[in-house]
Amino acid sequence: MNIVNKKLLAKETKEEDIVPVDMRALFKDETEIIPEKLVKKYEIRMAVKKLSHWYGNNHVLSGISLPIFKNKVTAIIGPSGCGKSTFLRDLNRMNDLIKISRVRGKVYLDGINIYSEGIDLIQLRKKIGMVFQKPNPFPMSIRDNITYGPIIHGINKAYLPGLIKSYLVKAALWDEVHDRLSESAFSLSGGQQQRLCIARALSIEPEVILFDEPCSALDPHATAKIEDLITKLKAEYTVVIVTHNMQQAARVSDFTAFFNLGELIEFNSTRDLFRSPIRKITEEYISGRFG
Amino acid sequence: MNETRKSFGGTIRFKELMDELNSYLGKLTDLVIEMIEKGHKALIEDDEGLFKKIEENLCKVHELSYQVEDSVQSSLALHQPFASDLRYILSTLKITNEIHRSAHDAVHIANSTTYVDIALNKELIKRVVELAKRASLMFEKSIDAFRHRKELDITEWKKLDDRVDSLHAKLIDDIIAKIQKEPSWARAGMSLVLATRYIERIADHACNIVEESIFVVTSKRVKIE
Repeated sequence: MNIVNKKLLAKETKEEDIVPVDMRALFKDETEIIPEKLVKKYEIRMAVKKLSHWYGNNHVLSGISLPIFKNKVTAIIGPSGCGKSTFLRDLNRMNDLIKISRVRGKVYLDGINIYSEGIDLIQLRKKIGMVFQKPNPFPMSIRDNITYGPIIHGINKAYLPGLIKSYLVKAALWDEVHDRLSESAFSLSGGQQQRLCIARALSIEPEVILFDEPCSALDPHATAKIEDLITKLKAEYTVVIVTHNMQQAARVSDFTAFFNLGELIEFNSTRDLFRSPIRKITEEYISGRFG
Repeated sequence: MNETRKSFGGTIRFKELMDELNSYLGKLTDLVIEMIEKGHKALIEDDEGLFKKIEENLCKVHELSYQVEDSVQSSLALHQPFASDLRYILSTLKITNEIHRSAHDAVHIANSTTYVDIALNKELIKRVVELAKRASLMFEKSIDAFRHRKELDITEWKKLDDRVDSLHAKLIDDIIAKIQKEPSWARAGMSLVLATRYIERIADHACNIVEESIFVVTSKRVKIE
């Protein structure tokens, strides 16, 4: 049974006004694209139901339904302009910041529709963190990049030194920076900056982490480090990654969703989708025949 | 980090997949070695019941072979391995076939007991079993070398193979001589000829596995002839 995630609700929202849904039941009528055996087997952390998105008159997502499984890595792949980044940003309402953006449909976190009234957006984005395409550390020291979020959220400063180490260790960066925490974050390499951004995202204790092309600006060695980091992170977090790089999706994810022209074409375990895709168009895309 | 992981490059996920592949390969190998040993036992003890038990294991062999194949497919499709990792994966697919065929050879060896009266042919059976033990040891050593990517001495393996071939040839000569002397023993003799042929094949499979092991380690193709 779902329990209302109180932290998501704005102060004025009464708990009894929000009734969490059974997320598994949402996919009973979606078995054509969402394999029933997966829905039965894995715990669902987030559920997207018939999500459509417009930028002005431009219809970029059409009726997407997709489960996001707990403590797993889900990759979103598809050709440019297929709507995968829009989809990712809909998962923590980042698109709300775009005036011409309009959304229809539902996105559930722990059974609560994050698009319903009474949702505290700051809490939502705290719970669903995001790492962007290009490393974007704050123009401050390595240490302050980590402590910035916790301080804003009112943490007792006595805990900060322990937290700095803990999040840098989790982001596989501690060994490389522990003796220069006061240096500017810009003194780090691109790969290190991206891991710092991941540590910064972890510092506000999210439950889901969204990665938007996290390695597109990195060399293969730095990419491998981030990929291994994502593999380790899934033990504690639920991860969704958007990537242009199909090989990366294959390497790093447990489940893959293939989008084309704003529609979800196929969703399956990464093993099955990359070896025996069900739809012809998926086969053509992953084997490099189009896109 | 365990031995398997140390010897592979790539990401954590790839290493996990290699652990999985090696685990299936290990289970398959253990099962087939057990079948080969039971095949020898069936020869010594004239135990037809053992033949049935060995034959029953073929289903498990098929299943484990598919699991190896499944892991190979995943590692190639998802991780695009290079160099020695790529060679290891491709060669795993090839040696799985050798292991699979050795399992069938073990079944045939055990089946040979049907027409041979062990008690009346002790001396010949003893030599067949000795040949079988050699082949079995070669088989075990070859797979161990493959799984641990050991460097192997091709000259030593050529000698081992030659020794099995000469013991095999001598046994065939003696069995034929006995058939010529006692024509009524022809059926039993033929069974023994076949048994020795299957045993010699197991040694051949071991040599093929060694060739793949050398390819994985050195990227050079060599032939044990």
